[in-house]
Amino acid sequence: MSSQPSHFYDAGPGDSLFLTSVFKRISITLKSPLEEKGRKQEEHYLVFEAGGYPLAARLSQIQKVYAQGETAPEEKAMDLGEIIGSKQKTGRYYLEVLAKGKTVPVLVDRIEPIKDLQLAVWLDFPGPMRRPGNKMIKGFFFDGSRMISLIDFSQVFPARGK
Amino acid sequence: MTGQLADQVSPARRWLRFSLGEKKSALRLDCLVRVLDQIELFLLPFLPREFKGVIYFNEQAVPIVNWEIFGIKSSSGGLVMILEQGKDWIGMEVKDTGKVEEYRPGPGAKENGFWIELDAEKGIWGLDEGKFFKTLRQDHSRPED
Repeated sequence: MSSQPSHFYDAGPGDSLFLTSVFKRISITLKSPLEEKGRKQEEHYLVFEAGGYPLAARLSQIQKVYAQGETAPEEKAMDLGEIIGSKQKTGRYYLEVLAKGKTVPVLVDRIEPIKDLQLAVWLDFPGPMRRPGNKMIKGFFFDGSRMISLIDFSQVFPARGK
Repeated sequence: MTGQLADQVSPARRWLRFSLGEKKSALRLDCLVRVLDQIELFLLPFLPREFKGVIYFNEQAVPIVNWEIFGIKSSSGGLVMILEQGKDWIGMEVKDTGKVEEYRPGPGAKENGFWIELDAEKGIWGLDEGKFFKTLRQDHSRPED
């Protein structure tokens, strides 16, 4: 099993990362799975940890990232680790996630600096593993030591009644 | 091998013997991609019970079968056989592999789930990969899960 902690970024108090939702997007007509793979690797992602798993989300789905120590509306926030199945509540950072036009506060455990994952290999989600309950996982980035699951927040919250 | 060399037998009739716990088993050679002796297993969120995790192999995330839910005790640390059906690959942990042998199960061969009896005398069962993949695609979650 791979260990993850050394990859993660511990922001200090007040060290907030404010992300605007404006990112230049190049419209590409997809012609082949290879082009789609390339496009996925060129996009920018927020890599974070929840429930002990390394996860990534497209920056276009993240409105804001609050660092450790900032006030999070915990009573309203969705603990992603809990959704994944972790019993322990360890959410320290919270994200404002855009899902189906709504802003949803989400608690996660750790975050990493923003990256484009160009050096990681995109892996499609294996067909035999696909279930209605995991349609929010679009596939994986393998960076040599970790299998980072790409999560689509728009598929997480409708399923959970948010 | 019953009187023929492995490479003289039609591929559809060639089976690779393997051990799975105490079960004497075999797999049709033409659905075998590779036998690996070392893997790194990655756990994933929302993983169906039918799988233990995935490995990275040949630029694919290959799911590894969780034998326990099929009532088979299999020890990790043996070999992993990569099987294919269409564009899907899966990996299954086995104790070891044996010889390539020829079997021709007839239409009346005994079946048990995704297993088909190849040699009643020796107690050898072949894995019907079509039924196996179909079974793995089904959700075996218990209602309380």
